[in-house]
This record gives sequence, C-alpha cells and structure tokens, in this order.
Amino acid sequence: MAKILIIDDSSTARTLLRSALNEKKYEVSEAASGPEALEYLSSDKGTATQLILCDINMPQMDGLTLCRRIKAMPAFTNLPILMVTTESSTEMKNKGKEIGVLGWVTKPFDPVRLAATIDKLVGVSAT
Amino acid sequence: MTEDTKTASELSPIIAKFYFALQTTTKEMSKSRLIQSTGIKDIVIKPLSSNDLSFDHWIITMMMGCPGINIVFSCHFSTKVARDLTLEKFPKKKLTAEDCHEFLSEYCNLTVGGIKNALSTLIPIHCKRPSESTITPPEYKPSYDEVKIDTSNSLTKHYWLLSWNEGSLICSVTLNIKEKDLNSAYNGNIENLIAAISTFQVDDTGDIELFGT
Repeated sequence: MAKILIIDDSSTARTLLRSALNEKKYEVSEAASGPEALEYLSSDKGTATQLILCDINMPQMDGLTLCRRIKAMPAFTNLPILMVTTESSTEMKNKGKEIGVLGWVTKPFDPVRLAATIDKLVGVSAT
Repeated sequence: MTEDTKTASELSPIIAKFYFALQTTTKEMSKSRLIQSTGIKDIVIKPLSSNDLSFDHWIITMMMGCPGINIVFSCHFSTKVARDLTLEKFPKKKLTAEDCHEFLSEYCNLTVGGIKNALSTLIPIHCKRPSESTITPPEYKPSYDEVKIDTSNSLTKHYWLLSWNEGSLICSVTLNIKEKDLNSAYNGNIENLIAAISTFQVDDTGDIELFGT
C-alpha cells in the first residue's frame, strides 16, 4: 500500500485531504508542523513514504523551508512533493520549482481531480 | 471619524472607488468560500443591523498586505454557528469546540488566501515595484470586548452577514489604502487596477499544476 504524508497545521485541511484519498489504496499519515514531519520522516515508519502533500503557511517552519530540508535528506532527494496551499503567485511557485517540488495544488482543491493526480503520480490504478 | 472609519466623502474619488472595489471583492470571496467550504448553497450577503448582535462571539482575524494595501478580514461567531457549519461538511465526525473553531480558521484562510491570489494576479500587471504580498495565519480569540459594531458602515470598515436558512455568520473587513504608496507603486495605473478588481470573478475550482510534465 502506497504511503502518503500530509503536512498541514490545519486539522480541517488534513481531514479534507485524507478524505480525498482512497484509504484502501493509501496508508495516510499526518503531521501538523514542519518539525513533526521531519521527526516522522526520520523514523522507521517514515522511510517508506512515497508522496508528500505539504502546506506552505505554517507556524514554526514554512512549507518551502521544510521541503528544502526534506530534499536535503539523502533518502528523500527524489521524493515527490505536492504543495497544497492558498498561495498561487508565480514567485512562490518559482521558489517551489527551485527546491524541486513536483507540483502545486491551489486550495480550494477538487478532491476527485486531486485523487486522480495522486493515483497517477504514485502509480496506483484509479479503479 | 477616525482613520479607520472614513466615509466616501472624506476620500479622493479614485481612492473611494478602490475601497469599494476591494470591499465588494472581499464580500463576494467570503460568501463564495463559505459555500465551497460547507456545501450550503443558499448563503446570501445581507447588511448587518444592530439586532444581529450577539454576546457569545468568538473572532478569527487574518491580515494581508501588498504594496499600498492592507486588508484585515474577521469573522465573528458563536460556537453553535461554528458547529452547525462544520457539521455541514463533516456530518459524521465527532466534533470538539476546537475542531469547529479550526474549521472556521481554515475558512478564513481560504477567503483571505483567495483575495491575496486575486491581487497577486492583478497587481504585477499594474505595479511598478516588486509586488510580493504578505499574509498572517488566522488568529482566534474570545471577542466579548472586541466587537463594537458600527452598523453605519464606512468604506474603510465594513460589516456584513453571511446568512443561510438556519443561521448566519458576521464578517468584517478593515481596509487601509495608503494613497501615497499606491500612487508611487501604481503610477498611472490605479484606474486600470480598480477596473481589474471590479470585474474580478471569484473562482472556487482551485488548480493543480505539475512542474516539468
């Protein structure tokens, strides 16, 4: 089962993302902050993570700084990361591209479209 | 009148027009995002009267700024209203009061984020300096002593109700447009920016963009 990590300080946003994903196909974990996500990824549970959905505006550590830190971890250099955020300026997207994030989901998102995109990225059948 | 409650007659016509355009966009965004967040279709914008006041309110506030413009958006609510709205989206979830307040925090985030995105799209076309904007996280707190609603309304401070069949939510916006900054940042282009904001259509469909594919 493909493992996905959702990182968002909003429990509402995490619940919405979790319900967009088919839990029969994915094992979904959650982190409410950057430090919590880094701790999870450094643990045994986190090593098999195959995709990250990450917010940007979070207290303690913003999402782009967090993604830079994740990409610097040898085990996760090539890990696909989708930013899921209300931010949609070209400047922010360019910063994301520089860090190596795979894509940008602007909130409010369409859950069906997001699920189809994730199925495709993780290589899971949409049926 | 204080600095944050100016009427149209105290502002230059072009700045008054700008205030009105931003106020309208904020109101439309707040309505559209509440419909999107809850699935309640019959939400309408209503003017606020003194009869709408309640004394068990919480308040969530978010701020955003970009060249020459500061926007403070708030929504005022009781835990019951927050619970009713959250249950519309998550009918089967066992909810705590904090879950319900958090649901409205995310609603504010979507509303102010939407305004920021609208301005981020429109401003670079007209602005003569880097147009990076800032946004604060939603902050919620009790508002017993905070809500002194002036229902006379002004261009700079405005309250409205988002009303549906079974309830309503009080929203407000405080706008601060710095005319000097605006003139230097958008030299000659303010009218165009106002026209663009006035015709802006709120879009709740979001977007997914994959880079390099």
